[in-house]
Amino acid sequence: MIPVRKSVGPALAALALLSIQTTGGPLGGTGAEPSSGDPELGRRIYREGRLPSGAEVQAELGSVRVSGDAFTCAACHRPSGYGSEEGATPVPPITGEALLAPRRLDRAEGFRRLYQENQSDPFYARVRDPRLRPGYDLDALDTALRTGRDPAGRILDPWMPRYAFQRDDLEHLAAYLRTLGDGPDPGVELRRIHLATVIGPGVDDRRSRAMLDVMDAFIQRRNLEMEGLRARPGHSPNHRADFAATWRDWKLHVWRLRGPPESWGSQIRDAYRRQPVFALLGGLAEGSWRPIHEQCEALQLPCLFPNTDLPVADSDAGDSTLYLSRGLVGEAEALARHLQKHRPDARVLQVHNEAPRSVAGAEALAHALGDRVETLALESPVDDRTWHRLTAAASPPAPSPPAQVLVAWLWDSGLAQRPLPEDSPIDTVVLSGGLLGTAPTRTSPALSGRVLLTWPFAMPDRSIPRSYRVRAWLRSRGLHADDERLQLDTYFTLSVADHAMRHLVTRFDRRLLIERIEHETENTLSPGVYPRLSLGPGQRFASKVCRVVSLSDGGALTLAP
Amino acid sequence: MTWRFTPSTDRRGLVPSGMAVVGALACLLCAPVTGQEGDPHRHHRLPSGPPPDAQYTRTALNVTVPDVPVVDAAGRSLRLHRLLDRPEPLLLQFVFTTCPGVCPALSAMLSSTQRQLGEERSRVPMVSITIDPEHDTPERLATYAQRFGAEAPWLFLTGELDDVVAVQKAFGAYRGNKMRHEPLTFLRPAPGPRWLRYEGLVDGSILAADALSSEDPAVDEEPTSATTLRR
Repeated sequence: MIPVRKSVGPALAALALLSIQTTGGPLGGTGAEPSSGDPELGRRIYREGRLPSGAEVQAELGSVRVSGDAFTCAACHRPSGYGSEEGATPVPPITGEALLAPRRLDRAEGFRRLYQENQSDPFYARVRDPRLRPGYDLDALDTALRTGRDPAGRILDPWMPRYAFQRDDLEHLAAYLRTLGDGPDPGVELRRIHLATVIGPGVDDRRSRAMLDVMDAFIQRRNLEMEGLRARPGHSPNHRADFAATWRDWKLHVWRLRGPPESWGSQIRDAYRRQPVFALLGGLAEGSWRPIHEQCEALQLPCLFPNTDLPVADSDAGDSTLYLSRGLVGEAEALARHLQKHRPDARVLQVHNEAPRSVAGAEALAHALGDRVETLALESPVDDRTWHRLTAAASPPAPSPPAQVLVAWLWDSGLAQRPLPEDSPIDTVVLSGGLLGTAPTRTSPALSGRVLLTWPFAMPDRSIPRSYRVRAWLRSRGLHADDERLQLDTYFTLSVADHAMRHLVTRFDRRLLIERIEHETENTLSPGVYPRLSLGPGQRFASKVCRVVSLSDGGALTLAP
Repeated sequence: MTWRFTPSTDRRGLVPSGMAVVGALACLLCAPVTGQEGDPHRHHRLPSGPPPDAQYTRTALNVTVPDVPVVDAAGRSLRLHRLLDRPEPLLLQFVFTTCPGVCPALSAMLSSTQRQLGEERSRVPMVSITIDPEHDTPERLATYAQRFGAEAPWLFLTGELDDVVAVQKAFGAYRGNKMRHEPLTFLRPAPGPRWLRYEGLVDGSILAADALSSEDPAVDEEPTSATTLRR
C-alpha cells in the first residue's frame, strides 16, 4: 500500500495538471474564462439538495438509496464548506481552495483537532492518519462523487454518499464550491480583528457599564497574551509558532444607537460602512432585538448572544444571530405546557402593562393557550382602581366562567401587598422570573403557597464549577458584581467567541465562526446563569429549559410538581 | 514532547522524533490505566484508524435498561423499560434531529431495514431515542420521522436529559457531548439482557436478516458489559 501511494500520487497529480490544462481550468473555468456553471443553482444543490430541474438530488449510501434534504452537501460539510467533526469521522473541507489544492499536511490543523477538540479516540486516530491527495478538477470531482474514489485513488469514507450528477449540474455545484472559503470576511486585518457591540437608546448606564467593563477587561487580557506571543516568536513550545497567523488583537467598537427602533438598521449600516467588523458581541437594547437581528441578517454579520429577552423567535429567522435563551416567549411556552399538563381545565387571566417585555410574554401565552386565557392591560403601578378591575375580571358575571389562575407579566409593590378578596376564585398566581430578575421575598400573606414562577435560570442551589472561576476572574479584575447575570453572560459570550476564533486559525469565515460555536457551546463553557447551554447545527437558542417553580414565603424556590 | 509531520509514506502520519520517543515511552510507562478522559497523552497510545474496508463491527453486550419515563413523537408518556420488554426482536438507535450527517444515515439504515422486512415489518419494533431531548420535542421528532418514512412499529422517543443520559450509559453509548456521538445500532435478538451492538454503516438487509434469524448472529468479540466499551 505504501509504495503504491508513493508512486501513484505524483502521477495522478501530473494527470490532474494535464487535465487542468486540457479542460480549460480546474472545477470548470479559469480566471479569464468564466465557468459555465451558475453558482446560485449550485447553491441550491449544495444547501437544499435540489437540482435546477426542481427534482431532489439522489444518492446512494452503501446499498441504501437516499434523497432529499437529509443528505445535502451542507449537512456534513456545513454551509461554510469547511467540514466538521462527527463522532469518529472528521468531515474534510470542500471549499474551492481546499478542493483545488493538493491536500498537504497542516500542523496547525492537526494540532487544533488533536488538542483543542473534545472528540472520540477513533477520531484522533483518524486525524493522525491524514489522507493526502492531489487537487481536484471537474472530472476528478465527478469520479469521486460517482464512485467514491478520490484523485489519489483512495476510496472515500463509507459515510460519504455517492452522487451521480449530470455534467451541467456538476458544473453548477463546482461553481458554487469555488465561492466558498474565499475569505477573509470583512473586519479582519493582518494584526487586528474588529468587533462591535450595540447599545440601544434608553439602556440603563449601570447595565451598559457592567457589560462594557467585562468586555474591556477580557479583551485587554487577550490582547496582552497575543502581544506576548508575537514578541517571542522563537519561543514556541508545542509548535505555537504554527498558529502565529491567529495571533491578532481584538478591537472593540461600541455602536450606540439613538432614536426610534425603525432607524437602528440604518445606523448599524452606517457604522458598519465606516468600520466593517467581523462579528457583534453581546449588546443591550430596550425592547425587541428584531431591528438589530434583521440588520445582522442583511449584512450576514454574526451577532453572538445579545443580552436580550426579546429575541426573534420565528422558526425562519435566519442564521446570523445566536441567542442565550428564548426569553419571555420561552417562559410563556413553558408556562403553557405546565398549565396544559397540570391545570387543563383552569381558566387563566393574564395581566400586563405597556412595557414591551410584558406585552411579549402576554402575547406568547395567549397564542399558546388560545381562548382559555383572558388578557387585561393594566397601568403600573397597580393602585386601588386597577386592582379592582383585576379582581372583577377574575369573577365575571355569569355565564362567563371565573378564572383560577392569574398570570402577572408585571410585579410591583401595589400588586405584591394587596390581598386577593376572600371569595376570589383565583387559587394560583404566576409571575415571570425573567421579568423580575430575582424571586420576590415578600408577597401578600393571602398569596402564601400559591405563587409560581416561570424560571429560565439555573436553580439557586445548583452548583456549576465554572461559575466559581468566572466570579474569581471578575473579582481579580476589580469588577464588582453589579449585575452578575449580565456580567457572567458577557463573559460567556467573549470566551465562546475567543474559543471559536482560535479554531478558525486563519479561516476567517463568518459562517465557520457560527458553526464552531454551534459545535463547541456544549463543552463546559457555561458560567451558570442558565441550567445548561448547548447548541447544534442550525440551533439558535443556547438555553432551552425554563422551569415552573413554587415560591415559598421566604423567597426560596422549589420545582413545581 | 515534539511531534513532526512526515510525508504520506508513513501510515501513522505523525511520528515522534528523536528525544520524543524516549518521552513517549516514559509516558506509556507512567500513564495511569484509568482516568483516560483527562489524559492529554492518550493519542500516543492509539492505534491507527480502522481499515477502510471495515464498514461495521458487531459485538455483544448485556444491558440493564433503566426504567425511565419517555415521550413518543405523538406526545404519549411511556416507560422505556416496559416499552422494550416485549417478545419480538428489537432495534434501537440514538440520534438527534439537528445532527448533520451520521444520524440521518443511521435513520436511513433503519428505514431501509423496514423496506427489506416488507410484510415482516410488524415483527421488528424499532426505537430511535434522541440524545438532544431539550431541543428535540415530540413535534420535531415527528417531522424527523416523516422525513425517513418511518412506519409503525418504529417509535421516536424523547424525555428528560438526565434520563436519556442514563439510557445511553446503560448501552455504553454516552460520550458526554452530542457532537461526539458514534454510529451505533443495537439489536436485541430475543427477550433478555443480551444485545448486539453494531458500530458503523450496516446494510438494511443485514439488520433485517439478523433480526429475523433464529440463530444468534456471530459476533466479533465475546459478550461484555456496557462499561468496558467506554472509550
